Amino acid sequence: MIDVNVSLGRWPFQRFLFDAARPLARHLKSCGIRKALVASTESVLYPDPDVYDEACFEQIREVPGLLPVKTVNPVLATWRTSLCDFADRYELKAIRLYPSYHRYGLDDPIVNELVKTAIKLKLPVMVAVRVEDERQQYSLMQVPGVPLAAIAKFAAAHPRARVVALNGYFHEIVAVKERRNLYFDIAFAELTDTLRALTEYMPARQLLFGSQTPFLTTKAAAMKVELANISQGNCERIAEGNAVSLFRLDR
Amino acid sequence: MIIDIHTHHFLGRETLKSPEPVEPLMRLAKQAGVTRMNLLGNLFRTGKIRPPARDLKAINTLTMRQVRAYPDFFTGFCYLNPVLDGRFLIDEIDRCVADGNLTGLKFEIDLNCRDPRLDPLLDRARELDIPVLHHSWHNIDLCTQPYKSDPPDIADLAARHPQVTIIMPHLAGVGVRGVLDVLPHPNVLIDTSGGLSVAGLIEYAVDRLGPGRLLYGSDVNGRDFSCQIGRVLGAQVSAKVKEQILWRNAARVLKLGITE
Repeated sequence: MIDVNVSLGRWPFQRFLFDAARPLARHLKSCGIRKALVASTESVLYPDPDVYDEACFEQIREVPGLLPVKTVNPVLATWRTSLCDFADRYELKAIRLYPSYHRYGLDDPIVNELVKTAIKLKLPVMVAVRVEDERQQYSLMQVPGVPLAAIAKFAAAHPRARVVALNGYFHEIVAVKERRNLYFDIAFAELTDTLRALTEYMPARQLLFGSQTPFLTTKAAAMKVELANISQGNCERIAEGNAVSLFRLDR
Repeated sequence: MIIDIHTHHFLGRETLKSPEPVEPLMRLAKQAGVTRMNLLGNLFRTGKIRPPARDLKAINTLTMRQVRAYPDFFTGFCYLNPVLDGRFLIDEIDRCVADGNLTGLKFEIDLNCRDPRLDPLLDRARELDIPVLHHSWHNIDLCTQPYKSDPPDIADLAARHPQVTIIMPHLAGVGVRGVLDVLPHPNVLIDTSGGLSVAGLIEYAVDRLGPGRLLYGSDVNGRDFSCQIGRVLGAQVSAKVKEQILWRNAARVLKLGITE
């Protein structure tokens, strides 16, 4: 499987069992995951994402199967030079945005500029709907989720961009009607027989395997695929195929 | 072997009068390796909390019917709304447990469990030697359900009734703090059902409570056996501990007489 939703680092509100690259890769492999798109957890909260992105990417550079995803905060004055610099130095596979944590709207003009740059760099744009279940957030740091409708509107406004919504709940994902260039990972999506239920609402080509490791238990996401009551073809698309084509990965 | 301590039969547009068949849910359970399911009742299908006596009886009658249809696969608990008349509730326990085929009590969000109206019901549970599963979730900033119980409330209930086995559900919902809340009360077990499969929580709970105080639960429908079981199988604990969580502890609490 290819996991499009993995993070590496530490988080002040949770104790991670895998916070270094090699143990993380070993753990993912034990769950049947051979490649993972990895972003830095600290880059969500630290004011300059470059600091922890660099530390993260230097760690994973030496570990086969872990692929870098750059966290971008378009509110920062330096985002453009930073992104281009990282794209030169690392084989970035995507960028990740956290609009709720970095406090901007996806309709902000600065985001238009960012998307143009991402398209130029051939990088899909991942938008984190949330990082944690809002009900379990630290009481003094309540961060609302990004409405899926806003992400859908954003994707529709940028038809040449490839947009991935991470950590959407089932009911949020299936409510999105306009989704031509929009993809969803399955980390937070859950209903009885999750993948069968999801594929009743949308084609499998728009779904990606994501586990939100190390926040969530990797095996829990893996078993959604292992026990999915869907065709083998659709299962393969969600587990790997869609990620290979979307992120231009080697088979 | 897997025993799912926390399930509901909510499939489709079921009503109390004409429930959809339970077999599709059983098939999904068996596909995931579940060998027994504990039914907690078709709660909320009447569209409201604090159901009246007529609806409550219908919920429990349905559970009893499902257990009777598949006694080797289902066990079931008797759902109670403690706001109802106390005499009726004791009679309902006797109808469903003493004279029926249900083997535990289930409380939801109808009344905070510090309320003394629960006491005679737990006294009856002690007399019948049956466990009680009481909904819980840490709601520090969630005030949407005024009568629900947080883990400190469960701890209070456990202290009042130390001889009754109390199952506090939703490990992800009660979190680290919930584990600490019930730590001093050995009669409280926690089930793993519901919420997201937050990593590290099972490991933490095993470390704090010991492996004998955790039970696997899914909270289907609305939840998926696959990832609910996956959160236990993926926990960084020994195979023996996983076995305890997945079925041994439940077999003990439900007095199923299964050892292998």
